[in-house]
Amino acid sequence: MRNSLEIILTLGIMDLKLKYRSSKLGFLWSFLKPLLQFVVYYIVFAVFLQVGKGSDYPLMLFLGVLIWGFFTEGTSLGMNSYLGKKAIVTKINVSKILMPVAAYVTPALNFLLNFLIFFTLYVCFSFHNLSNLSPVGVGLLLLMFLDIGVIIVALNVILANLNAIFRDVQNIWELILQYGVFMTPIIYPLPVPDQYLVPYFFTNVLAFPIELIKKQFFVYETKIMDPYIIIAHIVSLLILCAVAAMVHRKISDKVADYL
Amino acid sequence: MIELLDVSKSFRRYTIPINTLKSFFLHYKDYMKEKSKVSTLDVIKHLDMHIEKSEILCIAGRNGAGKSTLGKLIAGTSKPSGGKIKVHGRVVPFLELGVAFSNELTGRDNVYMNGVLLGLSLKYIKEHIDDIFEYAEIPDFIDTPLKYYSSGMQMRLAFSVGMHADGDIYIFDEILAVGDAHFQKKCYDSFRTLVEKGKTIILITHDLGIIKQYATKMLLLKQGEYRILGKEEIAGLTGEDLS
Repeated sequence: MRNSLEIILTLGIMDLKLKYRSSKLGFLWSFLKPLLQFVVYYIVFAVFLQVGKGSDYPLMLFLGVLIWGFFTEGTSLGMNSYLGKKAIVTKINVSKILMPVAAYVTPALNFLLNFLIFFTLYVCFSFHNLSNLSPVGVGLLLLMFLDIGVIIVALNVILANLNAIFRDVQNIWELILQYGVFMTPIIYPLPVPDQYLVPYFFTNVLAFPIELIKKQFFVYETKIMDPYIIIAHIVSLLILCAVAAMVHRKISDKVADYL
Repeated sequence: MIELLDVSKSFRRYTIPINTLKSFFLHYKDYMKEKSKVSTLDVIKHLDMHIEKSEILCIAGRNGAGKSTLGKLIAGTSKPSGGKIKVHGRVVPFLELGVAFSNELTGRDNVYMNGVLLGLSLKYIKEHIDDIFEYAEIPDFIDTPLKYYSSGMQMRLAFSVGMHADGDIYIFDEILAVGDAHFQKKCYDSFRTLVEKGKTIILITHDLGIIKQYATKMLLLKQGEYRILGKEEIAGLTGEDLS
């Protein structure tokens, strides 16, 4: 157990070092990228298209961009966790599950630091909302971050295994991420009609934690506390985990033969 | 101790590339036609064998005979198509060149990565990192990216980490070919120490001299068939037997 934790930690740190090798700005990119993405979305959607309204919109958008960045970075690294670590997978017998899990470490660390920046800005510019954050709310926030972590790791297991066999997975996942940013409540609250909310939250597993996190920080109208929506999300998450477990059991032993 | 019980390994001979969507659609008809009759290549067939503690097993055979595949099966990185492999103890594999090195990272980082993957604790690596580089005889290259190491230096480092990993079974897959004479002598000398400590050594090699000098048992692979040779039979081996 201790060795597994040390392997996850070491692989995660090595991922971080490899990511910023020969880079002048190095770790600063972790802050610059979401910031620049936020600026682009803000100019397009808040200034030109007038989508975002209210004084909380910039912070809400920033939080959405951070979570989305965490998700895309986590899954993109995770997808390559076998292919990119061919030397390890084909030469040393380590539990295959450790690599997709280790791919979560670097993005989680980046997100944590970025989240601290968000929280500082939140305290400075959205002080009136601070009273919204109850102890139960903090508990829900932690639960939702765990929820996102489980989603990322489960997807990583599926993507890493499939990517070892079919290289198309990379392109398909890139496309899904491109659509996903507009199909998930990051830039704007989704105008999904009430009757479609349950199927929507069932198919978009990331939407629920994002909505709930936003709800804890801001005065934000959302219908996610509807029991059917909660059940839809839980079922969706369980199916995702079951598929990940099945893919891991069926493919991971054969991965080394495909690389 | 290692037990190989009726172990087989076969690979499919894929003649039609279908690992991308493009090639799948381009070759769809041929693929569906040939799907049912994809022939398989039996690299290892029904291999039964025991390898005890303190034994040095040499695996020999022509290129493509399945030597490295068997090394990977024992190391656990590849799974057999049939039969069972029971490995009692921790395996330290030296498969292909190096172990799990990343060229962009420094020697230090690679030692941490390799060491921890081979079961060493981070604390142990931190305390012994200088010893590891001393043993590899490259103490000046500790913070040099691995891409500037020669292949011999990479091998020395891999070997040094492996020696510190204190495994029970060591697999050497023709790795000693890249080392200089001094390094090779050091490796072969270490075999004696390992055997005295009750470790098992598996040596994949074409070198008849090495086989005769060190092997206590030998596995000769030939087109899916195999022969297990004892010490006396090894002494009588000639170069022709290996070809």
